[in-house]
Amino acid sequence: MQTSRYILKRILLAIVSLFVIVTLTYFLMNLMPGDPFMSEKATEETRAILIAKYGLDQPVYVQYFKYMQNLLLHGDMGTSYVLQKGRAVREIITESFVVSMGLGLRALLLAIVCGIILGCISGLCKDKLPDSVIRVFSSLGISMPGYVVASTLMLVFAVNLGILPVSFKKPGGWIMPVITLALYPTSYLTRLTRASILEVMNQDYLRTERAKGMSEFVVVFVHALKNSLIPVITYLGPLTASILTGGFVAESVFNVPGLGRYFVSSISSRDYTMIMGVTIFYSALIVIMNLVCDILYKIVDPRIKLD
Amino acid sequence: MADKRQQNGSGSEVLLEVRNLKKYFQVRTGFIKKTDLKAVDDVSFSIKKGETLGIVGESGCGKTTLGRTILRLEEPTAGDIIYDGESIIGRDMKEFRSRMQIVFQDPYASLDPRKTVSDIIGEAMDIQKLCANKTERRERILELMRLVGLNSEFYNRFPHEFSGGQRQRIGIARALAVNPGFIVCDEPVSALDVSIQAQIINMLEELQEKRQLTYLFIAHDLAIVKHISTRIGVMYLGHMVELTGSAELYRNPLHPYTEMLLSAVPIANPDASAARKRIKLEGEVPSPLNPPSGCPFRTRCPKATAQCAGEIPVLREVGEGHFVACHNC
Amino acid sequence: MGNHSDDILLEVNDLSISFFNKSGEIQAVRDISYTLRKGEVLGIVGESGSGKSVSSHGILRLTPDTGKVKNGEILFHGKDILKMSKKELQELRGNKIAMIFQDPMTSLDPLFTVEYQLNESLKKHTNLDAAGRRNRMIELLTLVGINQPERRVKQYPYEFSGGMRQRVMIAMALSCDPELLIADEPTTALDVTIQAQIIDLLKELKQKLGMAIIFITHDLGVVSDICDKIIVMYAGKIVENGTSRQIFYDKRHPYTEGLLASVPDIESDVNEKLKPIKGNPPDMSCVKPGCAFAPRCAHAMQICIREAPPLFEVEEEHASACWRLARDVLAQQKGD
Repeated sequence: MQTSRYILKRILLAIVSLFVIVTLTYFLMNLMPGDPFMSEKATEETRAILIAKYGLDQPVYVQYFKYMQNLLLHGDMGTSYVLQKGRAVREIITESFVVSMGLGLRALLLAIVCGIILGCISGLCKDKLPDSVIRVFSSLGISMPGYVVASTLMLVFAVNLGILPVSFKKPGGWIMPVITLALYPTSYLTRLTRASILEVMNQDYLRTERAKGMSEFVVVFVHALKNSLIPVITYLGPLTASILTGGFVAESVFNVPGLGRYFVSSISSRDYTMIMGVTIFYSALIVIMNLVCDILYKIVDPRIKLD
Repeated sequence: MADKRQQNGSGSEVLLEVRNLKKYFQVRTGFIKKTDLKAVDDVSFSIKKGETLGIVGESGCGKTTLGRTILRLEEPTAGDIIYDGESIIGRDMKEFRSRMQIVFQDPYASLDPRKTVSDIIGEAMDIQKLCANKTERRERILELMRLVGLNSEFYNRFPHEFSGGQRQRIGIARALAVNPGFIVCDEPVSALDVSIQAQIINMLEELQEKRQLTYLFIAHDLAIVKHISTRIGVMYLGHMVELTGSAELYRNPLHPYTEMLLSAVPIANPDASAARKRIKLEGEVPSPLNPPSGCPFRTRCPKATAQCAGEIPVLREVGEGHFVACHNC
Repeated sequence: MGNHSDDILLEVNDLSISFFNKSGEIQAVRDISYTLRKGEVLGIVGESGSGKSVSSHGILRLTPDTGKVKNGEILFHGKDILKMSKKELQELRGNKIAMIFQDPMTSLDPLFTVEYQLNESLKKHTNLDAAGRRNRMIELLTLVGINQPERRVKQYPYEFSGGMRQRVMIAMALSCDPELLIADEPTTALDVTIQAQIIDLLKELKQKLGMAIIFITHDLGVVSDICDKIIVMYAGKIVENGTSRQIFYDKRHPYTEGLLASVPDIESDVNEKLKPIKGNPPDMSCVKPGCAFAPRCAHAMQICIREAPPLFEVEEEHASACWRLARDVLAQQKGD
């Protein structure tokens, strides 16, 4: 059957992509000057011992094979060298990703619901007041950088108005980080949905539906909407991946113990195992989301030829 | 008019000869599998100087691909194209581009919206270095505009400011700018209103007389093709199934597809229309990705026999200048 | 006079439709009037900009939002469609009056099966239960000549070719037994042989079901094949109307003459030069007074430029909007 062939091909491609990403990252990582122990106040001797202990004095390709062996046969990503010394990378990732995911999924839900609804309103009321207002806000939302949003929210709601807690751990502490994460995607989805609806509303088949006596409600909310959602759905895959992996700013400003922080700090501290762990995890996430999205797309639009 | 065309046709030399021309497109139809889309499958014919060869057929017959392949806008998969005694396969086309030109179908899409009329008409002249200086260039462009009936004040206007008919005139002026001897007219009037079509057709005929042009006229409107062509070739699924003089094709169609095509053409005459016997054509054109074995028309042909499934009929002469590709004609 | 008023299905009176954009008003349809009887096939012929499509869309009030009906009434069995409530209009559409459109490739929703789309009409306008609707669908697809209807009904539009999609559209339009079918250039986008099939199908269906048809086209050959009466439109107005034979054999308007002379006659062996109409169709955003065809007319007189001619009756059922006929009419009156 063509569908299963399509899926199989996509899965194969996904695996190959992952493999290439992992390999490239490993070698690039090792090209960076420095090593995991450079920030420690240790003598040359101690450092040499540590390096030997972790096998970092071996040639890179040997290290690479060992790493891959551990990864593929035992699912072992080693232990963190710097950030949480001695702790299994897998454990660290699992623990912190749960937090990120909690934020991310809420942000995703918010973005999808608000984005689509606002986009529909905007498109259906083209050039009228609701459209203009929504367009201004979505332009703002797209152009404001994450740290500006986060800081502004913090300042206004936590410091000045005092209605939201500064700390993430307090009840309601998830609200501001979620909004920070969701602002860009919401704005983007709003614009995407708007453009899509406007294009669909001009289509001939809507005229045919009206000519059949269908009510305007059916024409818009059954036929036009379904057709408008196709580009939106294709965007959801990359969107989910970017929300789940892009929490760095929000997590930093609001002190959220998520995976986003580790993504950047692992690089600056040369925590090799963490770098690899996070990279593999994020890449797998993105690749899987794209795959899911491709399959979803086919289900929604029967015209798509299974390549 | 008919006599004049006949005069031009006979006795003059062959300008273009197409031999066993094939154009296949590779299309992905499966996981790894690719199939050949045989857009043009073994077509041969020749055109004499001053003649107009019309090519008719319905969607998927390959006529547009044929026109483009002859000018090597698409690379032929196999076969030979001989222009004025020289083969153009494997050659640098630049010198031939000033001798062989094309007028496209869609007057709205075939003109660069960012170029002025003068730029569009002059571009090819510039490439071929046909003008010594700016004054000469301007004069030549204005003359061409006059020739096609465009007001000189349109010199600096942009395509979007014109109607379909006017844009088509710009396209024709562009084709004429390099003084070609041969022009492929790929459905030049299909996108135009009826009254404008007649203007453009007349203009093409006048230009042919004035400049001794040879045309390959591709269209799906049989009435127009019959009007302007000396001879007509009928295509079906990449094959040429009949080739003969225009009047003869209408009076004495031999191929079953030609008969059906002619009987389907609407006649602007109620009594004649009612009196006419329509030959019912069942079914639809098979996919060019999966054409029937042997004769491509056999799945819809009332005369089909076992031989038709096994052997592709070859275009052969059955009457004077009348060629048919059919086992049963 | 032969005027059976209960025979009259549709009456269009002084209909005017304009489009409004930033640059102003485009008068697409200007004061047109005609009547249609039960079972009649009326052809509306014209080129682009003539207003033929706009006027036909106007009948079911399908004019896009940029356009407005400025004036007129459209009486269906005596009731004005332009004054109907939304509910009444929805009852009418797809039910008593159905419409098929020009481009079958874009006129069907690509994301829903044929079954779903047929079902929509049937659910809305009939009382059939699920089984009844199913049977009706198969019946309709068979009627329009689609093979293996049980299998094909579950397919999506993209799985049908252009000609087949048009048949599906026809099936959808006929699903609730309409009294009037409006066909807006239904064969323009199709190959000649497929066009012939569709026209034959429409003729056959008309015989079987007795519905009236309004057939909009630019193709004079098609019109002479299927239509009883013909209206010729130019620049938003009706310039001539009459029976098919009157229009082709006794044409009385220079535009009609010009149109017929522009089309090459495939039957003729003598290849005369075509006689095109000089000039271009008018710009409908700045309509000048007088006859819209005057700038292109070989017989234009002073009055033609000053004042637009009304429709003069040539004989019963045959009228033409040309000042030349005024002389004839006057002469005839004097003779009476």
